[in-house]
Amino acid sequence: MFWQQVVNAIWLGAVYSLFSLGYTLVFGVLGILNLAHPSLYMWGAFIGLMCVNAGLPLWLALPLAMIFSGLMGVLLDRIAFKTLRDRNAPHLATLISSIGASIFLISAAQGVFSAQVSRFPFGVFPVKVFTLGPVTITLLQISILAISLAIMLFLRWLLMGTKLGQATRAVAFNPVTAARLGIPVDRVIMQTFFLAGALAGAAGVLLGLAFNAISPFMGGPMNLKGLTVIVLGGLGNIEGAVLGGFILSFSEVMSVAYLSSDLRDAVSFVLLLIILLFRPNGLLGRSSAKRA
Amino acid sequence: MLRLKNITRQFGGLAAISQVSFSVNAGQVTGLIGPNGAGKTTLLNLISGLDQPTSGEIHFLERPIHHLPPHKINQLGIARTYQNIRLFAEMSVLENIIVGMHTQGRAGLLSAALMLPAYRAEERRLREDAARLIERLGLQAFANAPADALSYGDQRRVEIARALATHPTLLLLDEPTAGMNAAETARLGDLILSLRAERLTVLVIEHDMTFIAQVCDRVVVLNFGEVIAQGAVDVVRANPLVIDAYLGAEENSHA
Amino acid sequence: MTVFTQFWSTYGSVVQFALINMLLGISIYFTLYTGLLSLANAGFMAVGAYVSAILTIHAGTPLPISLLAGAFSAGFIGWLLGLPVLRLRDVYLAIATLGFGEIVRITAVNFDKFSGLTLLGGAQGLDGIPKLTTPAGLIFSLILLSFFLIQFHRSRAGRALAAIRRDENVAATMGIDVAGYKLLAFVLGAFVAGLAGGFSAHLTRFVGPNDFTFSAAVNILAFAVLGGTAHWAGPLLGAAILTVLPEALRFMGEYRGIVNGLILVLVILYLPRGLFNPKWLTRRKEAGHAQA
Repeated sequence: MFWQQVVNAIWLGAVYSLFSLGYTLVFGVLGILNLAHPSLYMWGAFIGLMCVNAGLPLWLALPLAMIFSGLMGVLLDRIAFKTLRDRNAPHLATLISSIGASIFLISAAQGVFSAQVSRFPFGVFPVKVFTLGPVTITLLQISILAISLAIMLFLRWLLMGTKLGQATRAVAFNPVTAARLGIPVDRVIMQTFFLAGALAGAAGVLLGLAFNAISPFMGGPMNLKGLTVIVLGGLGNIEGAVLGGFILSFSEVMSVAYLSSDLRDAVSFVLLLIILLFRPNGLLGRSSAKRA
Repeated sequence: MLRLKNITRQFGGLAAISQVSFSVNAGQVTGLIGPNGAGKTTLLNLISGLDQPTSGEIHFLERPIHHLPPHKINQLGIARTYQNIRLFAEMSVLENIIVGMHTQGRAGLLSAALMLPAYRAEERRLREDAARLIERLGLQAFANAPADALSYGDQRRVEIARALATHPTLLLLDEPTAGMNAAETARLGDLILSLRAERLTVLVIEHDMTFIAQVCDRVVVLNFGEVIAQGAVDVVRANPLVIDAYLGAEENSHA
Repeated sequence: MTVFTQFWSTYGSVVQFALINMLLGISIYFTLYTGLLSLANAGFMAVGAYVSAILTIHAGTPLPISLLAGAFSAGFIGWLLGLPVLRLRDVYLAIATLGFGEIVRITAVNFDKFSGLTLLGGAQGLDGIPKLTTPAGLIFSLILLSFFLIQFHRSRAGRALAAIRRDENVAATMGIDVAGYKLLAFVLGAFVAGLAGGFSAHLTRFVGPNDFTFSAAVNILAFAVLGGTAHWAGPLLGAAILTVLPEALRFMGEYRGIVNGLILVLVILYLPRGLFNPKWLTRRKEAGHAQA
């Protein structure tokens, strides 16, 4: 029983982290809390579904969905944020703009895909169950975990091991200085939004497969989980988002298993509020990182 | 009256202020001088509560104030102006000053909403007091003009009026003559002396040494976040350390 | 007269919703005016709706008593929430208040189950509330609140908020208790939102836990963003427009929500101070104060 819960928490945590990485990346680089991030996640899921319905194999549908939602992220920045950034508008304005963009994207999805819950066709992924002593795990869950971890490692390499990553970190540290050093700040920002959107899209397809329920409103509950995750880890903190994703998934899974299933949603908010009140910089945040 | 004891303020690893101790005596005008970047404004922020010292103590009227929020410090009797004028731009001069009288009002929300006589009487009294301050600072002509429409020198006087409106016993002025012409500066000097005659204590940051000599009873010299000299104006001016500090700063700014 | 009756039978409910939304516009005006981006107003509305509905149903109290009880409860909860949460700034405050809305929802869903009472109706919500809201009652409250707002801005507290809005630090060194006045604005906003919730419950005859989530909070925010917060009449105008607009856009079907999203983004980008921002008016008003 316990080990089964651990397994459930691990693969769920991997997807939570995947979703939250893009969320926190944009905040880390630009100081924007992009509340439209969950809408990219939802669009990614729909695009993945469309590809599958058009007869494409899943291994192609996933990267296509990622590219699409990545481009959507770039477009989102050009339309909703760039003007505000150029004007040096307050945080409040950017936040409101992202809310507007998210309403727009949700309504557009409602129009294009209808408000109904859509599902992947049966058998799109082979149903295979492994039993290891007391623990059962499906091939789908293993694949989701493997793909999530692979994407996260790739992201880590990208940010820590490449020139692009170096430039991104420079822009996050100080865009003005970065520009003086000859770093193409605008391009770095576009790449950041592409990465964030692609990560959200990947999470959308994977969770859409896992729960097999895709709707224009699927971003709502995920948004609140994502916020909890990135606040847990410290806004803008990449490692923190991964840690936060697993903390959240473990608390959720364990409270459902040992307390009551009614408490699952409550867990993330109680966590969120406790962290905000006592450690607003997150578990990994330094006190000097106080952005408030 | 005001006593700073071993005040240190670090930003990151750098100490903007280190181990600063001095006192401001009641009824005197004390000058705070030093080259740019010496930490003068940081010190004013610490005294007025906008910033907290990393270590050290500030006592005002024998009470520790270094952990109080700014509004409490103001209520104890410390008011200030700002180096980069910070008036409420869209409000009129009179409105700015009436905001400064916040702590002299008592009327609550309810009596305002119901327009009770007590509220009306209080509003009348505040306006009369504000009008007197405006007259004292020679701002009658602009009373109803938006604050940002005034000249630099006039805005500085509005800021002083607004600070005085809080009925302070200690007034902190951050470069009050910046942007003023010679005549305005001299008039401001007279005003400060007349305030001193009424037993108001003043701590003033200034670069204009003529002005310092006109108004200050004593001066404290700050360089690189440390006090390098203090005492009577003439004595301090002759101090070789002070001369060095100013010359050094000048060389740096030429470099 | 017949023209009027005909109009009323078609649009009467729209007008009443517009009036309720105007109340909500006032509720968010208090916080936004003070520079606080709070998304808790929908939650406060829920508190007011549930409390007033329960009183009317179970205690048979007359509408004004139910409404006031709802408003005061919301104000009290606002005070409890505001004390810890208002220390947080912009993004963090927005996240915390978002979490609050979710906590209200979870409480509403689970309260009956955990308390053993039948009070809030769980996930199904509470229906069969007597329809007691009248246009006259709504208009009366709006006029009363408008009068209050006019007097408020002339009062000591109103001047303190105006000072905080322009420069928090300077206001503090003028002896103004910034945290205290922010809490006041937060509580006043909660009170008015609670009042609006009560009216809404007694108009639609129903209160459900899902009526007050993120999207409701965002709608309220949109009133103020569209109208602007330079003057209290701004959010009223915004609320009126955004209530009537969807009626005019019925032909757009599923795509209707797109307009709301677009409006938010476009207004923030191109009209950052909102529709209702007559500079001459604020100028003259303040000069007029000085002379009065």
